[in-house]
Amino acid sequence: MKSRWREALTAHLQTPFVAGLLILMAVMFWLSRTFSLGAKLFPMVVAGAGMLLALLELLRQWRSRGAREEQDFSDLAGDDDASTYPQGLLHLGWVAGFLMLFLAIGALPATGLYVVSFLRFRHNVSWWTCSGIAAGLMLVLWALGLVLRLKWPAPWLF
Amino acid sequence: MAESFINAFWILLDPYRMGMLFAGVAIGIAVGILPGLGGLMGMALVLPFLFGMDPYAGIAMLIGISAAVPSADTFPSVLMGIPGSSGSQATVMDGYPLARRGEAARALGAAFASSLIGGLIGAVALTALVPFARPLILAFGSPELFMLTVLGLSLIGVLSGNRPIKGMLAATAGLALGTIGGAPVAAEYRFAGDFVYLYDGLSLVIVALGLFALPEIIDLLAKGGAIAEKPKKLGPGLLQGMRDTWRHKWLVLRHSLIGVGVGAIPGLGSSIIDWINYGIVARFAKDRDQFGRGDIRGVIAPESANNAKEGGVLMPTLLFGVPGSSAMALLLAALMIFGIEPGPQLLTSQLDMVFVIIWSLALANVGGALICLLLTKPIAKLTYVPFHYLAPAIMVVVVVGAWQETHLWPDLLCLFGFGLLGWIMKRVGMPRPPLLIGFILCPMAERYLWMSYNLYDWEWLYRPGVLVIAGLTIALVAGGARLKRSSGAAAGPLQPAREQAP
Amino acid sequence: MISFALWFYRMRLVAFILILAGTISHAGAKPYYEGKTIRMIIPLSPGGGTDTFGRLISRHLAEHIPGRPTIIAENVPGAASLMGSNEFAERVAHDGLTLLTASGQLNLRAFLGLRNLRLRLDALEPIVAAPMGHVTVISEQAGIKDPAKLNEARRPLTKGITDPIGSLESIVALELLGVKYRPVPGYAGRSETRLGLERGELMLNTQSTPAYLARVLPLVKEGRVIPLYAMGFFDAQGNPVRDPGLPDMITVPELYEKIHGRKPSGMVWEAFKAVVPLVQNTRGTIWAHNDIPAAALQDLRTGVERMARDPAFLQAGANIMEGYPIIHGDDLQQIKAGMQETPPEVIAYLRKFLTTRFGLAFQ
Repeated sequence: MKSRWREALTAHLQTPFVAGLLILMAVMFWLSRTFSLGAKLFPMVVAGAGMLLALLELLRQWRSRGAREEQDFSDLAGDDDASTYPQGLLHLGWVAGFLMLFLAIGALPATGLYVVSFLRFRHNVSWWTCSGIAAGLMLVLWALGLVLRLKWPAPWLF
Repeated sequence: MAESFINAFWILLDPYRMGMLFAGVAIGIAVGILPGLGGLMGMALVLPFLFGMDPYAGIAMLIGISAAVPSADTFPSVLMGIPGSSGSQATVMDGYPLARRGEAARALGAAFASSLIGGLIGAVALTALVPFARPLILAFGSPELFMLTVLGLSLIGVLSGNRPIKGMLAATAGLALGTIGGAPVAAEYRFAGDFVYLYDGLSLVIVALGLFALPEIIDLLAKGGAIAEKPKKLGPGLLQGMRDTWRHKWLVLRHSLIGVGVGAIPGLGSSIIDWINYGIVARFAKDRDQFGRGDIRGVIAPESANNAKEGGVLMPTLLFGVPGSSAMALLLAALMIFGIEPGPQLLTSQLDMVFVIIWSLALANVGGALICLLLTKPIAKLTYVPFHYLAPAIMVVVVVGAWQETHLWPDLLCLFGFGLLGWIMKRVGMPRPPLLIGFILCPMAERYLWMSYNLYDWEWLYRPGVLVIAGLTIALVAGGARLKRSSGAAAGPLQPAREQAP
Repeated sequence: MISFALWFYRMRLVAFILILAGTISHAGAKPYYEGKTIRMIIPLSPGGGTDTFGRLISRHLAEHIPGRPTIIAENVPGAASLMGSNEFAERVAHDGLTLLTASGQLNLRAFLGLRNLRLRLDALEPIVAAPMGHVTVISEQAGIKDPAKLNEARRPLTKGITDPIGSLESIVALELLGVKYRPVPGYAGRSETRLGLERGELMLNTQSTPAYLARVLPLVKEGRVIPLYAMGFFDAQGNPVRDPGLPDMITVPELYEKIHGRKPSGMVWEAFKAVVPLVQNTRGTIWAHNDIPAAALQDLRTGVERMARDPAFLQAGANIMEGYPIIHGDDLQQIKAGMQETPPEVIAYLRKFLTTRFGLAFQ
């Protein structure tokens, strides 16, 4: 049952995506009218071309009944399977979490916390190994920060 | 002239100056390996130390940095599919698939060998061309530059493969994203509202990192396993790569020369050079099936070009004081600090400095490539480590690299946004390279189009340079279409890379 | 009477003791900047004339400020100096521990009140500045041999501009002289406009005097380019004087007089007088907030005075100043005073000109 839902939601993702692009191009076209001539010409032409191409693509999708196009090289895409979407979204969540930690508690503590939690909770790596990796990474980062004079963010929480 | 040439070598051979040169190479390698940092940052680091330094040593160090970065930034491109700096984006297209096939060492070996030779060709070309470069550089006005951006945009055809509409749509989206921010010819900040952050537009580093790096990391984690899918013997890989480069030596020569040529044209920037070279090699090669799946030529061509371009960008910098790339702007500042005025008089009154620069370029390329070759074996082994050990470290490094751009939190928001976009594009089957190219070329295309019109009304369309480049573009697009049709008829159904024998 | 003399004597004794005490305590007092670090914000990317000037000052000023603080230069690029300037204006403490290196263009933007720029020049105190003259030339392809015949050109003369405020002084000069020019925006920098001149696509071109001497003079010698006028400077009394880097070149006011037969006057002239002193310091101006502790300001000024006499600084700065001395002390105050005395109508005129002609937005 769940896999049928997943199937339904994700099988034809290309159509809403292209439709979304169409809408964004239209918005861009609309917003550009208020600019001066030197600033509006290019965006309007680009937005116009984009709307046209989006419509062509939607037409193509309709004619081929939304089948996925033959995989070829142009975007390094791999083969997708049932787990790609939920796993992908999960890992995107982890990335978002790390970014927020980075800003909230500073670069080095966030690194340590992230590495340890990720390795431990997602992949069941032993405490020793993940602390070791975390410590090593924090050390390298700190040293690089000194040598390359990197600036770390001021933590938001304290 | 010959004695200046030899004299400069002896000047450089001084232990302090060689030390500074190799310090520069070391900094360049460090900055190149970490994605998102870039040569400009490395050079800016040493800028305060230049005051009061011996001019030859200072310039040698800066050249060392700028020459080593295009070599070292192949590491993240090949191993992780992360565009290292703006010079190594196209290497991702074939380098990363090679790493996934377990041939990382081969790809890296070929890349560094090409970098070495390409860099040397760049230095030689600089020596040979610099007396004649003035009229050639002056010949490229705004109309010609606009046509070159059109040429660049025609590459989208190559990079869209068999999905032309999706590719063009992605390119248009890239162009659209490029319009955000200050308009080149009007005093308007478009689509930015009152967000001062957006006034400069989106940052190329963030877009490239988000679009290419994050989706790969996430997909690899979702799949599990290591970067390399099939374990393979590492040993011969490196030498095999170097042999490949030798086998394709004419390709190395051709693309190095293209790299020098395009680099010498001021106003194009250096980000587009490796894409142009990738497009050309993919378009005109015989037997094009493997491009994008791990054709070693797709690594050799951009890598030779992006090292050779360092020789090219020095030409407008030294002859006109017009920086050929953003890193060259720093070189100009250094020249100013040392009291050296760029211009044609450099060739008469400061010839030994010019040759010191050329020798530094040559030595730094050789040194940098050799050091990278030594690092290849140990680093390539990482492709066999289960990816979830590497992923957090890579993620951290990517985020730190993204942060260094402006130290503003919206950068991280954008990074995530483009990561999400890139991931969705992979699912939906929209090719990502055309988006990046559209994004890179947008400001240039708009700027030169307007400037051509403002300067020449519509007469610019009849200029000989414009017509030549237009002809070249049509040949590129049409020739490709013809090749594709004929090969499409002959070949059977396409098979995914993994099932083909390497 | 004796008591009065005694009282008087006592008063003087007390006064003397107080003065002595004051002197001793002052001599023992720590300089404001001792052990402190000053952050120099440079709101530009590294590698430009103003950036190099800011770094030069950061390096040398520190040793001469009483207390010998450290000065660290930090690039905060973005949005044409908006990012760094806004940070300096709003997000740092006004304690004398942060300074700003501004280019002439930024001064002008702040002076005119560009939208979203939070930097206000009347809240700032200049510490030191580096002047730079400018020269305008014309390509011989325009067919004009005599600068006095400039406004008789048959077709509009193309002039490359980077952005309207970046080229404002040369644009105002052209307006003043009544020349028909056609602005061509989109150039990335002054050197690119010079390249355009060499290519023959631009007719008019303005460069800084050192750049003119180094790179345009050869073209003049070849006969491909004709020098027109120098922007000139204004002295402490507000009179136009010639560019010390090019004492033989005619200045804009002199050319005006030659063309029209009388001295320049009117709104455009007032605008010219307002714009040129601000932009004269194109190489760079170092600003501090004007409400920092008095001791800090005093120490900064002392540091500048000492630095200006230091031979090491003069030697190191020779390449960067390119022949112009730094402005400090009273001359600097003159510039600030001149700015504050500009009538509001002139500012309104400039804003209106920039908005109608180039579409800029102001606060």
